[in-house]
Amino acid sequence: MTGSRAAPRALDVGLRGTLGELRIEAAFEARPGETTAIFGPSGSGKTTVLRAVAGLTRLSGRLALGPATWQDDRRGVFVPAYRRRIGFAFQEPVLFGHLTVEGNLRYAERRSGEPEGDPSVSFVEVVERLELGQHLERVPRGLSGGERQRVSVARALLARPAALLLDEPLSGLHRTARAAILPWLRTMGEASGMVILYVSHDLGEVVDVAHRIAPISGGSVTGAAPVAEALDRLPAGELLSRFEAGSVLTATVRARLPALGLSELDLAGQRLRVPGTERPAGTEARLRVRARDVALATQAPTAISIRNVLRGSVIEVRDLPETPFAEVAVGFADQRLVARITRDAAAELGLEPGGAVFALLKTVSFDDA
Amino acid sequence: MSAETLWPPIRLTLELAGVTTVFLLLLGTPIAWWLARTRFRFKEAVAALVALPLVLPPTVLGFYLLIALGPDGPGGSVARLFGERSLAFSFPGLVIGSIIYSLPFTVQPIRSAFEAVGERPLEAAATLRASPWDAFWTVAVPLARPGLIAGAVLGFAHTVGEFGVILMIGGNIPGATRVLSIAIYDHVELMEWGTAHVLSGSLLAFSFVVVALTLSLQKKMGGRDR
Repeated sequence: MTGSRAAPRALDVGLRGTLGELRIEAAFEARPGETTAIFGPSGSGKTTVLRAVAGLTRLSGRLALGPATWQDDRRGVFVPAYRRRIGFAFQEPVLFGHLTVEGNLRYAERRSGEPEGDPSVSFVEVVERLELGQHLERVPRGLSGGERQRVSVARALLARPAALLLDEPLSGLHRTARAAILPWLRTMGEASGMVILYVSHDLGEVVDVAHRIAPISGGSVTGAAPVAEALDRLPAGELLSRFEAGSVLTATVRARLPALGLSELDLAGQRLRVPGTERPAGTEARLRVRARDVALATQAPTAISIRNVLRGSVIEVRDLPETPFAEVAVGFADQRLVARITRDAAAELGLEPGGAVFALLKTVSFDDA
Repeated sequence: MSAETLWPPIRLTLELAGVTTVFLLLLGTPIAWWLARTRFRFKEAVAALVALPLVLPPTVLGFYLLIALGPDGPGGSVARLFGERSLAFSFPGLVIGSIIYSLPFTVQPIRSAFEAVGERPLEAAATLRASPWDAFWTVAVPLARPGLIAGAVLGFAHTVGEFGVILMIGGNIPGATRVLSIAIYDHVELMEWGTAHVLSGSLLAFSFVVVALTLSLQKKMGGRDR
């Protein structure tokens, strides 16, 4: 491309402040061409940090993107949001209701100040990758939650930002749809040299998209580290348990059993019974299973109270450092489930990748229940 | 009953309401925007001041306006710049009185519409590098459009139906300040029932259309997507 594209610039964050009960302390650097995930449980201040970087919420301190100082309280500098080269996707997408999907995207593009046809972020590619082609003429009112989020991300990208700020931008999408978008986002960030800050509480999502993780807890985020290093450093007992490690499965409702208060579902040819009868037969449902609610057996169990037993195969066994536990990933067709069992039990059962295993699901619930 | 007696007050009324509505939008929209968004501690006091004509007897408002617009008031000083003695009993005087009298009817629906738009679309616009001025015109105004239309329609209609204030500051000069409502009053006084019927019936039909239009606009606004 021509020399008009600015040199890659790092985002240097040094902000602190108080929001309600929470003391915010954010000090980290996000590198250009990399996706930095701000990862932590809800209520830990992730959104506030992102809004402060955007200039929508005011904290105190210093904030700069390369040579451009966005905030420096000592010098009385505060650049308003509309003068920062950012793109922002809110967790609850805010689309302009008076414009079509294309109108929303063009609104961003017209103000981006970049020549049209910027090869790193082209309108055509963004629309294609986020599967918005057949929705361009629609108005936001009629869009599903996942569609709105995709428009919101596309619009943020088409602002051709130097720093792309994404607040749980794909939480409304199915895991498979997310899995298609995240690696592209990561690659596109690399190609364009932009800084991407990706806020999430979903470890799977973070691993798919991020180069670095900046863990946040209790309002404090004090550094970003490469993904593998950061994962090892996460205090398993303290931090991980609060995320309620677990899995989301997608199944189809077969029948409702009102007399029992249950629904019968089909998951890759296997049968499940789950409390709740709201969903009509034939619809797809997402199920949440906590890792500690899954037991494993190497032979089909009989005469037990657990009703939901799925047959699958072991994908991987991962020890949780500094704890007596291991996490076992079990696959069923194209889906996977994580079980948390003791390392002792894993060794005694002789669990190895590829081995057949029965997963006993003590509790399963609909994802939004 | 002839066209010469019917037409002048109708034309004058429409002219007055039209000019007043333009000024109402120019003045009322920024006031509504400010009231919808400011964190100023005493903003409800300002809102009350704007809303005062809703409850004030028109004759009271008209009395103060008469003094303000008269030869010894500020209106008189302005009038002298144009070689007149007073703004009372003149078309500009009627416009000023009507603006004050109808302001709450324009400000209230526009303020509600801006409040319904809320902060979030403007934040989204800011993250897309739209300046506050840009965002006002390209996001806030289009999203608040039903409220702006309702404000204009109500301001127009309320000015058409005005009586007390105009009587106090405008007198009853045919072709200059004799508007529809006052003409009807005169016809009834003179027991010209036929003419009064025609004018009153038209005003009744007009008012119905206005109210129906406003209600349907507000319904549309209530069901809009945010």
